Amino acid sequence: MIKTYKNSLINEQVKVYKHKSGLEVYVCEKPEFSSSFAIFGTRYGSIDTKFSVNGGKITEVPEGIAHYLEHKLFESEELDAFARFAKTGASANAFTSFDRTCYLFSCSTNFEENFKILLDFVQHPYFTEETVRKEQGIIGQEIQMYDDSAPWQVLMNLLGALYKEHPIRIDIAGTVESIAKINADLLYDCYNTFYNLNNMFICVAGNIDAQNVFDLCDKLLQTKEPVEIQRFMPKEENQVEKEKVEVTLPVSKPLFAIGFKEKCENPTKTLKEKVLSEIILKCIFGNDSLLYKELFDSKLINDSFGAEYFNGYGYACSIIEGESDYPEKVKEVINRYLNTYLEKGILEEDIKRAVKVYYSEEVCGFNSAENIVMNMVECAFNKTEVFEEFDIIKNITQEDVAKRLKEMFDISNSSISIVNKE
Amino acid sequence: MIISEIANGVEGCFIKSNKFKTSSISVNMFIPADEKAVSAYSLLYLILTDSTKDYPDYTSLNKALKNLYNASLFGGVQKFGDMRMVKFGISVLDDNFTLSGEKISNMAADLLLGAIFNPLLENSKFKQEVFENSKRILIDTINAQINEKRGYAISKTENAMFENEPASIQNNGTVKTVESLTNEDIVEAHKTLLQNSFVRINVISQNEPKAVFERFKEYFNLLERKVEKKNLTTFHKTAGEIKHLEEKMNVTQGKLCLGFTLKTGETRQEVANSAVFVDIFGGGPYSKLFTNVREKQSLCYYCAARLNSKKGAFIVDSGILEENKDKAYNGILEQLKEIQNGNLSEEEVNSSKIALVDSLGSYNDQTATLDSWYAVSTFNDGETIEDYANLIKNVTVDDVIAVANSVKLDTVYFLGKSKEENND
Repeated sequence: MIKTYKNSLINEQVKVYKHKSGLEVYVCEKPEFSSSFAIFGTRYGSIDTKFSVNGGKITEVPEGIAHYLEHKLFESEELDAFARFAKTGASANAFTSFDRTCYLFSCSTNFEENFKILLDFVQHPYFTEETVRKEQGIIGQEIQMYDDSAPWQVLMNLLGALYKEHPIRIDIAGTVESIAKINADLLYDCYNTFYNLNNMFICVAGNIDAQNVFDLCDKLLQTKEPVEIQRFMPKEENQVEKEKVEVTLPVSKPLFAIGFKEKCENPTKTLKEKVLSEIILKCIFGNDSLLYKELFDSKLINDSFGAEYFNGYGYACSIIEGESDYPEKVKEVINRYLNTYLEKGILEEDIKRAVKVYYSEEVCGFNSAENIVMNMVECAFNKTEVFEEFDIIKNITQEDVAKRLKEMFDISNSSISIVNKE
Repeated sequence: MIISEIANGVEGCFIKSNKFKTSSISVNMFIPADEKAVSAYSLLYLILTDSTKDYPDYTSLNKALKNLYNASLFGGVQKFGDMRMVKFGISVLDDNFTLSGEKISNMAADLLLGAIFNPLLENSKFKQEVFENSKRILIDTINAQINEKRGYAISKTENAMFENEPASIQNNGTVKTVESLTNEDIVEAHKTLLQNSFVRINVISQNEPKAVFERFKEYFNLLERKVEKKNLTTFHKTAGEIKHLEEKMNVTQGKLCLGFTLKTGETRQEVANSAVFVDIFGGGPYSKLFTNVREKQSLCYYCAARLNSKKGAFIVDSGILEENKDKAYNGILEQLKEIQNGNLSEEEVNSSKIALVDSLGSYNDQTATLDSWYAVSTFNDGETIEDYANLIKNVTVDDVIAVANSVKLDTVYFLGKSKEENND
């Protein structure tokens, strides 16, 4: 029932308990900490717009509904969740991303009471037409705040250029128009589908006792019949939708995001593929690389330049972002370097240095309860083994890197998104 | 924590902790600064962390840092009331966790010392190329403030509110001052900073930093130090008339900022009183602004207040539809009136107190919060996190109402849509 994963190199362990509902509970005890951090999450995000339950009828819901549901779940018929946390002193919050919704709190006292509140409010939805309507003004302002955020716009426009059909191209919060279509019945439909414990996970770290957490879960989790969720993702062509997209906003310097779209033969990438991708991006685009030096010395970029590997169910791409007066020239230089790397591979010395950086980032993740929980959420979400990446990086070869590099970058299949200066 | 005198005006503070996988050293230098000096120190920070005598270009420095398991140089120039705090720090993986048992912490300490004391010089000046590149980066950073409208609006409000006081100078100064700086100015700024700032060095580690402090001592003792440990900040006083500022831009959402003054006083208890007041007014989800302006009136996604205790001021900011500007403005002032009139329950005050105390309880679990706390605690008679938590616990409903009644509106700033946008 309880599995313990140990890493003697860094002196850490994580316990995983599988609840009878199918939900897994991840716990990392850190008795030397004063505080703790907990997440109750579900595999449900903005991309889940079309689904069916147990092979039944297909439901299509308005864009932004997962995020809307996150806001509404804090309310209850009596005392809302925020008012309850106000009595314990915890700092509570929630976030919705493209593929998950997480409810969280951090505290340095009253862990048990806070954990009970978290488990209770996430399992007890309460929506009425009136309370649902009331949220439109608040979320409408959240959407507008992002409309004015140039870094967010440059990313969303890139995703829209890379993907023609996949809902990754839709803004997480939806639009003012799409959220106007949301009502209490639709929220209940989504809740009853995606908030089934079988589709959820709990991760806790800090000054807590693992057995106590598991006992509380046994006591407070209300098992319902597990549901089988089918997600209908439209078929996405390998080719990018548009090679270039530009908008104009009040910014100091043009912002750019360049994306290289990868084939998704399987809907998800393996952990090894993800680790290799991160290492490759560090080698090519890090501030110790030749490419960075050329771009920086020729004044094409500043210190805001960076790269990330972006992937989830049915989508995978490498994104390079920054500020530049000449984004197209940046892309030319990047393509030239990528061609050389694709032909000649990456130096072993560079790979070794990037592995050290990757390893250090993983270890330093244990510096804070919040980071530990976020890393456990990755394991829970992707159903990978705890500490698996430590084994992967020990055995990385130049051949692995060369093979993965070719999968990641098809220079003829990329897009650039630019936010121009007014 | 253990405090020791390292050199004239240089304190060492050892924060022993076995919680972290890393150890860190931060050198915090406190100094008064006018606009030119603010820009000069910001530029100096970029130059010193770009390359050193041992690592003569940023590629070799970054390679060295990454080879030290991604050791990171951190810091910059921050506001400290009317003064500035210039921070140079390094954080590195603990020796116990390296893959082949490499000892890297001493090397990281050397690297930090090299950055601060052994810069790359050519003919007694910084390398011109590094100087120019750093200037370009700093100008880009200052200009980029406009990209995030919330921070931009707050900065503009502070700017107007503290006009003619050093606290009005924005982080990094202005593009104009940066452009005017010469290489010689930065050499001079480096000298001034090392000779005239009061210095607090924090080490967060499992191990005694005796050897590290010794190294710093050697370097500081070579300098002719002339230092006075004094916080030169004065409380801001309202001019009487409310300042109104409006700016137009191509934005979708309007940003409303209200700058207030309040009596925060000389004692730390008074600071705690005002911290509880500001939190009840616009802190957590239990606050007056969250529960009324956001939840009841549905006017915004955020409406929050933040305290600047050193200046005796606080700013409320909110992102709203332009046509709701007056509603939000009135809503915020109505909630202030509520507290001033004593419409405040014991329960509300308790919510805020336990939230603040709970949050202070986690400060010990993060290197960044620990470092920030102990960098400035020297100006608060060495107050610990626990000491301050106890002051928060002392605050009463009457204390909060008394603070609320000292509040005066000083500055109103609004960022709205430009005209052509309104015509769309």
